[in-house]
Amino acid sequence: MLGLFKKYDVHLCPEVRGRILDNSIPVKGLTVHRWLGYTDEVERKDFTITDDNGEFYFPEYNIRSKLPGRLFVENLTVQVIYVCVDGENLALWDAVLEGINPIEAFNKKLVSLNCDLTNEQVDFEFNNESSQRKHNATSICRWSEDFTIY
Amino acid sequence: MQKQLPPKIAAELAALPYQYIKSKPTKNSRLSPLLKKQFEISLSESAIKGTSGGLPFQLFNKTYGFAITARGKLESNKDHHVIAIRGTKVMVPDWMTNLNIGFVSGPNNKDVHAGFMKAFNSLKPAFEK
Repeated sequence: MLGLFKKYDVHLCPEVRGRILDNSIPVKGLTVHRWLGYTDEVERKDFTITDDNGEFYFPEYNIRSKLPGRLFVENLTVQVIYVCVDGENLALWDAVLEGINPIEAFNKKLVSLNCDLTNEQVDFEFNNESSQRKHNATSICRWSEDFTIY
Repeated sequence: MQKQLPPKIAAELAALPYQYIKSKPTKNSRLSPLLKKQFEISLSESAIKGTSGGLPFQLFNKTYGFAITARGKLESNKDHHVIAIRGTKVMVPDWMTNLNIGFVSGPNNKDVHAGFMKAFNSLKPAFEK
């Protein structure tokens, strides 16, 4: 019973680093948004602005919540990192983090969100060490490894 | 004819309703390669909404998807419809059906959890479309 009142650390998003180019030229002063939707149905939003090199950074995002102690709760976080260009939201990252702990494969992807705004937005798979189901995400970024567009 | 959903596909379908949040800033209808090959899923207007357990649910359901439907497109699962319904609502967990998934064969005189039945009936008009 006491478990119901206990609070847990819930990891919503690891540290994020990336760089935005437009036709290979760094885009400076562009607002990058992060939107996190955890099972508690609170939408958490923050933003940052790209520097002279087109680079940006978000710190890791963790919360405390009682929800993981509840029966039948599906812990997951919808993670969206996007920029708005010409009225359209382009996803640098759009994925679902399952569970309440960091996932190494997500950490790796999210510290290298490198994109060119001219890239096409693609759906891709990346490895999942703990399940037969691979992870998937949508992005205009490209990675050199563990990145299979489908 | 395929009688059962392989666990891998069932797991992926079951995970889908959780991803459709109306206020999400990007609109994409990403499916895993496995699902893409086997099912057609209409995600254009986010997920189907239903209600269960009174007002608090009805409020949540305005922003959060509740169920999705999929139609088989291979020869083996043609004309099969799958309904994936999301589990317990977190704030007022009033029904015990956390996950319910399967081929729909209509009322079959089997026992169904009352809370689930209530929720299902609220969804029914949308499925019949």
